[in-house]
Amino acid sequence: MKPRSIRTSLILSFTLVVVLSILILGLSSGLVFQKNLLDNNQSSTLQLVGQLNRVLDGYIGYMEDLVLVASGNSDVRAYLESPAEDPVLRARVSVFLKNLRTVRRDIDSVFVVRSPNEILTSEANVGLNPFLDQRQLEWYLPYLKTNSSIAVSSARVENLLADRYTWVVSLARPSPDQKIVQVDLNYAVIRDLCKALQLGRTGYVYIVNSNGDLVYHPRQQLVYSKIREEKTSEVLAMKNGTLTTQVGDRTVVYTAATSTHTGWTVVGVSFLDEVFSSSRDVFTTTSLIALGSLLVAILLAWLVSRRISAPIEELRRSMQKIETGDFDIEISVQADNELTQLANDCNLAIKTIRELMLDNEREQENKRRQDLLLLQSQINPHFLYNTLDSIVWMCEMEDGPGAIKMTTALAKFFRLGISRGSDILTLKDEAGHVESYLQIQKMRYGDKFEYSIKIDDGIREALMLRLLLQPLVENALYHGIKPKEGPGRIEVLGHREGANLMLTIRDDGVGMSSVALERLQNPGSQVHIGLENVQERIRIFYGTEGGLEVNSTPGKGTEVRLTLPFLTTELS
Amino acid sequence: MKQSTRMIAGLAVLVALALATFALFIVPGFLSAAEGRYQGRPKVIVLLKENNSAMTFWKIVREGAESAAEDVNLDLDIRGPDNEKAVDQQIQQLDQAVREKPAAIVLAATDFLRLVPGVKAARSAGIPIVTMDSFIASDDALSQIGTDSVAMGAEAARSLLKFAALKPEVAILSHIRGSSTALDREKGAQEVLKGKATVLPVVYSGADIATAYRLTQEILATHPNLGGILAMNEPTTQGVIRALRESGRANSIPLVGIDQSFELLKGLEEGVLRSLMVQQPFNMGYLSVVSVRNLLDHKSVPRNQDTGSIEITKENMFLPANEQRLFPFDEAQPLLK
Repeated sequence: MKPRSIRTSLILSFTLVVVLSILILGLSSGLVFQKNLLDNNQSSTLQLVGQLNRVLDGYIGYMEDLVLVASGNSDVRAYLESPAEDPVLRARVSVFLKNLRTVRRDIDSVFVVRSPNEILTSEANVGLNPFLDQRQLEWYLPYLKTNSSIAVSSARVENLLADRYTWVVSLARPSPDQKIVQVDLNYAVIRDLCKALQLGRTGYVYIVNSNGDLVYHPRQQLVYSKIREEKTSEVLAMKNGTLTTQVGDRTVVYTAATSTHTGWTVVGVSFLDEVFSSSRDVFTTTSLIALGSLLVAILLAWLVSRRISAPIEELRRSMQKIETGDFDIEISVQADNELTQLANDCNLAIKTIRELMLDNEREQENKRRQDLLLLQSQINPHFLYNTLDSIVWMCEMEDGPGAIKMTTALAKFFRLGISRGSDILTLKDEAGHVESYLQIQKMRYGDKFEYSIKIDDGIREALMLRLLLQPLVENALYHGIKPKEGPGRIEVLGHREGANLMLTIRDDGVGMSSVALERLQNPGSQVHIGLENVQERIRIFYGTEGGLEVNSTPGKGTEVRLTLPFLTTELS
Repeated sequence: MKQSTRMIAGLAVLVALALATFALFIVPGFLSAAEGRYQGRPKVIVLLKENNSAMTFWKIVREGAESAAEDVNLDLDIRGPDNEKAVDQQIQQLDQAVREKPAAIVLAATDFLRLVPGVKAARSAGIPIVTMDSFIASDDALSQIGTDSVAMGAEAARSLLKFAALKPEVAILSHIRGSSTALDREKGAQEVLKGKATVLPVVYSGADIATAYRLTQEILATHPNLGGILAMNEPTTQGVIRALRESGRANSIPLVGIDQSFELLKGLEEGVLRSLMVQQPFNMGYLSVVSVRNLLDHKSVPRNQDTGSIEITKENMFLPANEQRLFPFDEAQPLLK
């Protein structure tokens, strides 16, 4: 993956989180909202449809009672039952029908049919249709139900009257010999009831009877012409409940309630896209708000990330400077948080590094100086002249073996003393060097002193910083033994104490007072360059692991103890 | 440091304010705009062939158009000349309609040729226009919605042959000479009758009841062996019914009419009229308006839409499907209010 800046990552992740949460929140709430909307819509439609059904039941029931009243009327019964038409009864029934008709305005007309030629009507002033087809009187046949003596038609056109075609719903009580009492309801009543029910913007209610005939449909023509399709057979099979189905390119929710009384099914038709049209508005609003919050989120991400990444960028630039070796910088971060602390820590670290580097430089300088001093001490010209004088003198005395011994010791001394090889050598070689020195001095001073070098077996191969012993031995000789009256003795001892190599240079010379000892340990005193040089080199090379200790008693002698870490080739 | 914190706090407040403004102004604005989609219904001018609801046919066309307008969310402005022969008046009305720049125009042309310039003007003004029922001699109408008149004429002739004796002498009473419906209906009828009947020269009633009545009387008087009459539109059929009823020869001269009205239905019940070819004016009106909506929505609309015709007889006139076609609900008498 390509490396990205913190800033980009921050903005990206910020935006991602916001987008995801908005999406999830929006979608889930949208779905819940839609589902609620649909549920509410369905239950309210179901309620409306059920209500209309009950209203129609009550209404038709009332009209059925009216039919029963009419057919139970004694005059009507007598008229229908008399073998021949009775003019008196005829007149009385006509008046009864006329009165019955005026009971309610929604009754279109009332008929009593003795035979196709003997029909009495409440609309006596209108007259009967002269071209009446007998079949038209038998409309009720398909609507007779076993459990009811009254047939209720679907919407139909009444043509019993002359020059009048009216839309009615007819209720008829036929007798077995086809005498009929019939009440025609003005169809407008049912139509208005249904029309009043609007479901959504273009949703509507329609009624279908148990035969599948439409009692009411706001677009009956279209249904008959098959321009509009209704899933009526499916709805009839369901009788009550809700059916969601695809009709043409729209999703339609059919809500049906069937009356057990009339057998009519009231069907509510609503369109899903209209149910959701309000949710669409909510959706657009939500999306706009989401868009707004997204922009805000991006803006905030941009600002916050700048707050975070700008100091980091500053830190990075500073670090790059440091990489090039420029430690003379001060990181200044304009932030009010952890990053300021981090920058301060960095500054501290840089300062420490700077000091350490200075220390290191000083140390190196010091080492070079000490090495130079050591070298100077090794090629001390007095020592060389004296030794060479001694050799000359031995030659003059024809002491050949002595001259050879001394020359050999001098060569050995210089080979180890001024060779610019490794700083480290074995204790064996160091001891050899000291011994060469002591041999030379012993030959020069004769009985003035004795010496012994005792190195424990097994530590001869231990490693140590070179030329630590010779300066101390030289000190012992020149400052301890030489001022002493009578002969002295110098001992060099080496042994191991745990992890330490202990080297001791002991003399029985004049010793030092505690004051002198103190002055000695005060660095830069320039009194005993050898001691200071050894001490400083131990410090540089071994750090705190090495140490030098001087014990001295005036008149009794001096003992210098070197404590060095015990190192061998394997360890180093 | 303190300053940048304060700046961010200030920014947050600003953003919150912006959101609040957004919620207060933009959202309700947007919502009302969304409602406006439903409120601001495009206006469509419908120019009928006549605009005095006397003719049942146009009454039902109107009903269909208005139903569709409700269903597809359009605002209708229904106009038309005083009668079918007032071509000049309709030309004027079309010009006026084009000047008013409605969203679309539906035209039932009173003349096959003379309305063409007006339709062209509508098209060049960028107003979509469809023709209904009677068309024009031009491709400028984006769709023609109506009865296939040739097929209808043929159906009428076939129906007549069912009721007539073999090789009858048949009179054709057409309505307006030169009108597209007259030409096509005649054409369809002549094709069917060719060889199966002796067809008298076509006469024209001018869509006038009295003229049709007089012409029928003349034909009845001059053709004692007349074996059938085809009447090609509603007023013509009415005139023929009247003359035939009075002549008392209805039993021997079957009459087949075209289009519907109360009078014609009575004629059917009475038996003077044997059958009636009815168009589907409701569907015509409905589909015209739906087509206009589809055009406005840039949906494809078929160039020709046949709304079909149906043969009505005394036997089938009270079937539920036909009742719907023949007896329009009378909206004038709401009872429960």
